[in-house]
Amino acid sequence: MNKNLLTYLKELRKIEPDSAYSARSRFLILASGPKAEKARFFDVLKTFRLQTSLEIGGAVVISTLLIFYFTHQARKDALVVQADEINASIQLKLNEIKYILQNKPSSENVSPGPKIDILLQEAVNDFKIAEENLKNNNIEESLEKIKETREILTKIERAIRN
Amino acid sequence: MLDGEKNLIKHAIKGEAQAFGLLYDHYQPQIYRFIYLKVGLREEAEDLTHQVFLQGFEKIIEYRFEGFPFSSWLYRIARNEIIDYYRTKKIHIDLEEVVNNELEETGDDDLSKIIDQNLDLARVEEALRCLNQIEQDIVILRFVEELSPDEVARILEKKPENVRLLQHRAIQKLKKTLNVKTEA
Repeated sequence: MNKNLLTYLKELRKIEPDSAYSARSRFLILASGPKAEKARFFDVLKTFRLQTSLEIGGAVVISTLLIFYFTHQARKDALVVQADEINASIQLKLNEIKYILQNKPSSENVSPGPKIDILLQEAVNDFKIAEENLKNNNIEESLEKIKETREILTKIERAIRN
Repeated sequence: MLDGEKNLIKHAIKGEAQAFGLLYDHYQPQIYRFIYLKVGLREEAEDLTHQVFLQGFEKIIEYRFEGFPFSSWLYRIARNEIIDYYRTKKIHIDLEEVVNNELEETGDDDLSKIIDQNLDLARVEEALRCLNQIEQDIVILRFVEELSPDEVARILEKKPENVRLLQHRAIQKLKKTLNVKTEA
């Protein structure tokens, strides 16, 4: 009987997590990054050595935006999930940008150039508009602006890679 | 242990998501299984597993290699998460109470019938959750995941000889809960 019990216990090894859950969980975790190394928008701006006002502005806008997002939309589950995913993907993009910048040869790690400056300015502006939309309860429009920001970050990433 | 695990951890510490992704792919199913067997609810197990890996990635800088796979560290995080989970939910299962109730409710005739019935996995799972936390850990890690007593001892922060003793006791209790006759 003992042998049977142990056989049954071994069979419990067949228990597996749902693949869709695993994929989503994996994505969100990887987007979060380790605490000490986490790339934040603020860090990226710093790396680009932009003006202090822009750095502070960007950080304030993002913090406010995220606070608004997760408190303001608490009752709107579908949008929260969507916002969560977009936020995670933005975080992932920032991690990638930071990684690329850190791993570029030091000779290349100089001024980012006017093109990237403009893109960063666009990203910050979009965040500001998204914040305004949130204040005015235009949640869907706000979400659209955040999506646009993600697109801009993708462009920045591509520009840095090249 | 995963091939090139130490190297992957080194890269993950640097913040490389891809490296941690490989660790996740390799160890997530077993961490999920460990948690699921202890909490018994799929959604709760998913949430807790997510938390374990989230913490794992966030705190990976604190990880120190101790001669065992990375999973040993993850199991320790998982155990703490489960303790918090039960503390919050205020769920408490007293093994002695469960066993005594079961024995009181089960007469000799019923007992024979139960013994004659085939054991199924659901019953084993249920019985497993009647053990106390440390006994559950030992049974899952030793007999489901087939980890060595040394590795289990490291995860549980106990001596290997204690693990062996607790393992014996846990199996006896499991049999008793399942009303399985022991041969000795």
